[in-house]
Amino acid sequence: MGKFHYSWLLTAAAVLLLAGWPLLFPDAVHFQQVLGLTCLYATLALAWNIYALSGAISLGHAAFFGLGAYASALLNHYCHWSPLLAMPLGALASVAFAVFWNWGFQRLRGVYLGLASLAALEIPKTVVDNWDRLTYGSMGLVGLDRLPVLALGSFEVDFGLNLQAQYYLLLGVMLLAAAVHRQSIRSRWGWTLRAIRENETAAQGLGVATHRERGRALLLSAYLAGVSGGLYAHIMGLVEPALVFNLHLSVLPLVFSLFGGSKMVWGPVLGAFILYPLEQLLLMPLFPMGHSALYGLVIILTIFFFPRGIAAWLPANRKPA
Amino acid sequence: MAASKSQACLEVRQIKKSFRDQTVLREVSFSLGEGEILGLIGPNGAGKTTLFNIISGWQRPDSGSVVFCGRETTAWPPDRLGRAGLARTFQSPQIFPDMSALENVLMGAWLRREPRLPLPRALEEAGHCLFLVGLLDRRHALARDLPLAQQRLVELARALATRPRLLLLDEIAAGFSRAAVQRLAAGLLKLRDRGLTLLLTDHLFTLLEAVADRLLALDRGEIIAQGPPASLIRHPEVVSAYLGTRYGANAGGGA
Repeated sequence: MGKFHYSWLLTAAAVLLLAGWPLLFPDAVHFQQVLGLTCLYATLALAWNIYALSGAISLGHAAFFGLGAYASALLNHYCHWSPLLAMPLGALASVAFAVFWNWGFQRLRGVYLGLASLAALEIPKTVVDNWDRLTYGSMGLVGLDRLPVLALGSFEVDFGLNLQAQYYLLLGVMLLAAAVHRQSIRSRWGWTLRAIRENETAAQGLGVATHRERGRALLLSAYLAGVSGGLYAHIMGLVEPALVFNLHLSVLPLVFSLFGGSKMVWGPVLGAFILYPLEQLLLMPLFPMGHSALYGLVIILTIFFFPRGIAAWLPANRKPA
Repeated sequence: MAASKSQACLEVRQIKKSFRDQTVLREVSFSLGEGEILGLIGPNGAGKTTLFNIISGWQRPDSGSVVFCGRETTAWPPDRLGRAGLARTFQSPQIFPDMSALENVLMGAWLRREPRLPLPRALEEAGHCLFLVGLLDRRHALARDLPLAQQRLVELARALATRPRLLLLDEIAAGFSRAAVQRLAAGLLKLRDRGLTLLLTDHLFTLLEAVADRLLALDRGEIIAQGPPASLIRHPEVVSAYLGTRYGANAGGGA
């Protein structure tokens, strides 16, 4: 019980800190922007990790991110749907691709699945790149509606232009994804995923339909990644294939999750909140051309020195979840 | 002992299986009554594990069928058979290495669909299953840190936690001490008394003699003899299969 109170206390303190600091520093807009994007990439990392909980390492999550971004952008551009509607529905395009992925890669495991997922990223990217009449090809779509203004009586919040409001929106989405991620670890289904990850033969022997359960994890993961992509499209106001299907977007969630601790409830969030601000606020001004090398270095150090990630150092996480 | 075993829990009908040009099982047929313990013996390469794999859904036969609890299950995948009440252990124990012994067994009790148990009840049941195999004091040890014999017991406890109707044990006693075999035999007999049906294979005749109602001897994919343990292990063909024809002839004389 002590551990239970301790972890909840730590979580509450972290959430309070994340929610409170912009009120103390309302003029730190650059920090609000960077930490807002940190929340977005943390959401992507949480999405990636839900699939990884079943033992699958994906190098193609940018496909889900990009499809969510493009579907939302197209719905907004052609059907004039509000981003609030286009984002959650556009993410279904990512789910559709996940269905194809799950069927196509059902026999692949380990490094082969990783390589296949890397190759799979090229499919939607190439389609979007070449379907000029629909997607405007490599030029991308510009002038997308920004995130909307929320009005409650005389109280108005502009999520599109007010970076503080945008930060809170992205923080809220991340916390929602973290709650889903937590359930994906702690629930009975979470233990099913863990059983599959640790020994698929044994899990199957216990009556676990391993392909179906891993597929469920992938669909959930793809949906959350698609929502992240939709958010990105409407924050930036544009989408381009080279931007949203970028391999970097497959690597970021992997690095954040491994560094933070991919078996820990808060691992991917912790990884994102340490590495992304470090890269954007410290390394980018110092090394404008080579700041992304940080991620390569972090992967190597993580694998060699703390393979369970830094969240494993927290007292509440001394054992894998 | 086999009086109440009129209803077949498992029927294996004319199973044939080949790998490329090598025939591993040749029209193997037998049945196993509810609450019966059947031991499967045979030298290495006789086809015992292949037969286990076919019964538990890990391999498909070339022809023939498997009927489990009155339903044809030949084409069922292992997970469906697991949900239907068939559990097994493997020659090389299949554990969850990064889980403790208790968590391993908990997987059996908690992931089971019928009846669904809340976590505290599932934990209680997992503890009880570990107690049955004599590993309660090692419940917090990581499964990968346990010696192989104890990993086998963890796997057995986890199989029991699924509350199976039929339990297949593939060389469960390999590496066990004599005392451990005796404890295991006593435990298996208790389980049988509670209505569990068991099919087991082992090279240790002491275990099979102690628990099996019936033995079935397999050699080069064929059933060469079956009957009560005491008579079967002196059967000339069985002795020949294990020790060669010279010993088999002598055994025939002495039987």
